[in-house]
Amino acid sequence: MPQTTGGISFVNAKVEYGTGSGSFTDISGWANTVEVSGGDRASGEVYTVDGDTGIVTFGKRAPVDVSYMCVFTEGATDPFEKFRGYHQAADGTQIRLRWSPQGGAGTGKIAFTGTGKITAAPWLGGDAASPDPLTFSFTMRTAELLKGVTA
Amino acid sequence: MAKKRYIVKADFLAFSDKNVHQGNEIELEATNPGTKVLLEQEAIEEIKEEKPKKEKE
Repeated sequence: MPQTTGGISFVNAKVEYGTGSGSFTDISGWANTVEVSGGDRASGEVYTVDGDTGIVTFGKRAPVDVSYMCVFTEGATDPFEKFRGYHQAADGTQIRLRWSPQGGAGTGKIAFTGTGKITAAPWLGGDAASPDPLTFSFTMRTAELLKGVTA
Repeated sequence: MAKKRYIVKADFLAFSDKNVHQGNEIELEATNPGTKVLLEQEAIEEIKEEKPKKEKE
């Protein structure tokens, strides 16, 4: 088989967030990484005296955790203050995260989205020995991610 | 440019200001190159208007 020429990287990604009913805000200028974990389907097994393999059954899919790492800036409408506010609001504010690896490059590109609340808070630490810009990260837990298309 | 109605077939369409989820109807410019891309990817499907049947005399 010939080698694919369709590989893509994350260098031109578009990273966004929104609240439950509001429009999306593009934070590509702050976003550094997007990490996704979870969503595994539970499985169980039992073994009987007869035979050499187990009896395997399957359960539900686990929630998905999405973590954004962003550059820290102090503006009142900048990502850190927004996400801190969503996390510390009473009961937590429902948010939506959306990102597209090639999202800045036009129509028809793959995109992912999920709705949930922040479960790992966006706090800020630091290291006096590091010359790097300060970053912060947070995690949102969602029941599932949807795969869509940029329009 | 003529707009046409489409039904969303992908899980969702990511517009700059909103997500439109599967099963919802949207209006798009039919001649827009982006619309053609979405049709080719089967992310949307045109809603064909049924012509009213002529009544028999």
